[in-house]
Amino acid sequence: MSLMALLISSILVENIILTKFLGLCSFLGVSNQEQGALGMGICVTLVMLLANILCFFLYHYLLLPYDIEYLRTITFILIIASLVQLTEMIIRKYFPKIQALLGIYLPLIATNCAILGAVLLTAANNYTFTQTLVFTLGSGLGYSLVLYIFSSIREKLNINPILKGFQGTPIALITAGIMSMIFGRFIGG
Amino acid sequence: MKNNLLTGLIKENPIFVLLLGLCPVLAVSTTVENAIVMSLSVLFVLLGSNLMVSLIKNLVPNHIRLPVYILIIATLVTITELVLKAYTPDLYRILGIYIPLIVVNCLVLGRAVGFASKEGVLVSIVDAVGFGLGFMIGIVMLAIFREVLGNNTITIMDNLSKITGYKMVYQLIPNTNIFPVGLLITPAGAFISLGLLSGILKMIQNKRREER
Amino acid sequence: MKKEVLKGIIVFTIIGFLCSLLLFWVYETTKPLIEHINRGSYYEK
Repeated sequence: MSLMALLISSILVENIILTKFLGLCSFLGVSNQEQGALGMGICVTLVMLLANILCFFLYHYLLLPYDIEYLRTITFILIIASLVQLTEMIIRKYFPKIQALLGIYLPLIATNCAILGAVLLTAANNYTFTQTLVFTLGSGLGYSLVLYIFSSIREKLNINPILKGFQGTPIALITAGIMSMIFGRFIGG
Repeated sequence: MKNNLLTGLIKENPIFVLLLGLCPVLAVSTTVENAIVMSLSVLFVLLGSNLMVSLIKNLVPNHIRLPVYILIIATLVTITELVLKAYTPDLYRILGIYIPLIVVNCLVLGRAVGFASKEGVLVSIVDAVGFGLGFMIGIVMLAIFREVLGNNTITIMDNLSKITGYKMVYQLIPNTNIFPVGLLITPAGAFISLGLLSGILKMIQNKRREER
Repeated sequence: MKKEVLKGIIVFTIIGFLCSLLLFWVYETTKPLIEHINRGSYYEK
């Protein structure tokens, strides 16, 4: 698959949130404010890139050759968790403004299915190194895109009168479904 | 103890009330069989992790707790993966990456950190059973909704038939112009179904609270 | 402070080692089955 097609498909058609359902916890939690959404998206994309690069080398040069492929889940998640810790420390020290904005959502990135999911998908689809970079970038951008669009929609949803039981998460889910339908249409034809 | 069991089942049902660990729920609820197998895996991991975490909670120094818990959960998940891969390869291929994703399922880690690391072994086991069953009820209900209305079938045992020898695929509603609603099987349908179901449940809860 | 960090690392390594052993055992046990599947004979049934 050409790199361009891979990029577009990972951002739009097979969007990591709307098609693969990855990254939902933070999606439903952060997408309430626009600025938080953008910041979260950038953080996730960066961590995803770093994590996937590290895990790629680990997978292809350590796990596969030595026939210990079954250790991938453990090693991947440990790398991701450590990376998130590191990122948290760096942000706390050098970018206190971002820290104030994202608050409790930063550590949640570790259990964010999106990052582990992107890494697992790379391993499962056996991408080359360039494909991995493109795929991860696309997934991160797709995630940020959906998060941002969603946050603007949610701000308007909160103002409008909606049936009492459906306020908050249920209506958000239904809206996500509609978005998913639209994004799925990008497949053409 | 009965309270512990019921909490996870109804009051704090992980799927409809707490909305935790949704990633596998939406992806796997396309057939009832997938939902059952996924929830059994989650139950297994929950039981194992709550049990282990509760056993070693006094041996692990505070600052290393989270990595150790993640290690334990990841090990249990990998065992599940290997067993499924060997005994039910078709299902393993369908469930794909969502089995390893049980590791980051907020439910499992949440119960380990929030409950099993503070309570006794027996209570932790009961807690795991409660939440595991609550998860199962939630995801199976969603799967029934999606599959019956979206595909006109209920698949209870199709891919597993090589082991058990039974095939249980039933067609419930005759094909009409309205049903099946193919949309429900798509990812979009997953969001919409969960939104609808949790919204309706919330409305019922609100009404009960008002009546009191 | 240093003693605590050391103790933490030791506990982590021990548990990691035990987990790896457990996984290795499960892997070796299921290996013949997986090879059986990969060779295609599983589907001949």
